Amino acid sequence: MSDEQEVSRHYRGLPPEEPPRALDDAILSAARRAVRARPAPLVVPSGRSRWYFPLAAAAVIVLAVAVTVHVQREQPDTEALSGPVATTPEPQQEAAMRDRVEPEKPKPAPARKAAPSEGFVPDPKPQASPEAPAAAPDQARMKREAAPAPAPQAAPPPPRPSPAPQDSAGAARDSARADAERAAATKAQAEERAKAEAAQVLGQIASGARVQEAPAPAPKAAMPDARRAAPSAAAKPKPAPALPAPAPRTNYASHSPEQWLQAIADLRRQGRHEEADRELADFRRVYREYRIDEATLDRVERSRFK
Amino acid sequence: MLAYGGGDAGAFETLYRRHRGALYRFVLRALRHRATAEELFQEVWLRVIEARGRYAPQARFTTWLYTIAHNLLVDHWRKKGLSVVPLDEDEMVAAPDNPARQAEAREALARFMHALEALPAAQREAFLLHEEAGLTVAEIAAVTGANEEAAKSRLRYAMAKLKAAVDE
Repeated sequence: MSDEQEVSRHYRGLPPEEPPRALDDAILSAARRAVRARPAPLVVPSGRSRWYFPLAAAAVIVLAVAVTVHVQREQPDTEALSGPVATTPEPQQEAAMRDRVEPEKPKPAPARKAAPSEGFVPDPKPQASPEAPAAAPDQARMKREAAPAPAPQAAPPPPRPSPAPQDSAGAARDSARADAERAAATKAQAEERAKAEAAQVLGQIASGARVQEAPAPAPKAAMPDARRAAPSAAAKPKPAPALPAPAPRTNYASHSPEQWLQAIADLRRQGRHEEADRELADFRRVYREYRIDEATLDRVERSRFK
Repeated sequence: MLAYGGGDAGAFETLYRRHRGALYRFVLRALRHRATAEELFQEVWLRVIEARGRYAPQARFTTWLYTIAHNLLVDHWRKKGLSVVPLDEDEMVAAPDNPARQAEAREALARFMHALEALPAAQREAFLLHEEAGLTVAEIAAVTGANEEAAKSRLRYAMAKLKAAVDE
């Protein structure tokens, strides 16, 4: 037997020390706990993550919906805000416009008869109320000037079919259109002469005015007559009989300044100086800073038109 | 160990049953203090449990297991201010002053046990790794971090002293 084997034999003769049973149990239970507990940390985070992503997705969806709703609600608000701004100077401008327009009409009644010459079919209803005094428009105007409250009501002219007295249909249409343009012009001035933006806004407003013109507009100037003639009808206006398209004038304000001036020049050439004057006045109101060259002035200004 | 790392608790129990006695005796006889040995023995196995996920079979499990035990022994000895490898390997470690331990040694282990306890720590560890874990010289060197010549020398010295004790 070698020395190493003899030593080993003696070593094996030592009492076989073993770890205590409690120590065995502690270690084995720790090992089992570790195996069982290994999924546990994964389960807890997975439990969180199981709710984390749906909750995050739901939060994103709610946020997106809220923003969308908010934006959709904001858009009418901005329009509503732009409405009063556009209509604020209305009483004075309306009066000035009416003063400018009405001298051309000696009386509302003749104007009514003049309407067919512009291609309009007269509405028989206003003619069926001959008791309407000739001075009614003036009275209505005085009422409106004394109480400008109705003006905001008509500010965003409802697309309802109005009684549409044809005597002042053209003037009323012009007035409405001028009001809209003036309102837009006021807004444009407030926005630091944003010419392109002004044209866009005017285009929007004018397009709205055009839509209203088509069914038979006359939102303001016609209203007093309608109220006076049939107060109950004011609340429930009867739709106007089918009128032929009132040949709406082109909304040059939505065009470029050069196009607008060219249109004015065309009106001059056609001898429609009244319209040309109005368009020129509107043009200068909208494009205050625009410098019209001499050659163009010769074509658009009545005094220089040859 | 790989099976245990995969979640098989029974695999650990098999490993434990296979190595528990030898490792316990290795630790106990290296430390010569039962309470400390039990504490360190448990710590070894807890390290094994903790390392189950990153265990890579680069060597025998036994080598890896006793490497953990060796490192914990080194930590323990360093805390006690002791050196693992005495400068003079032939220096005999004084017998324990504890009379009770000497009596226990006399009664239970006779002279062999006394000689084993009297071995320098490095020689005793090399001998215990050889006898309890069945490691080769190369494996002893790998576990203890020494070169093979040093491991072989420690083992040879330990054998010689124990043989001398047996022959007395």
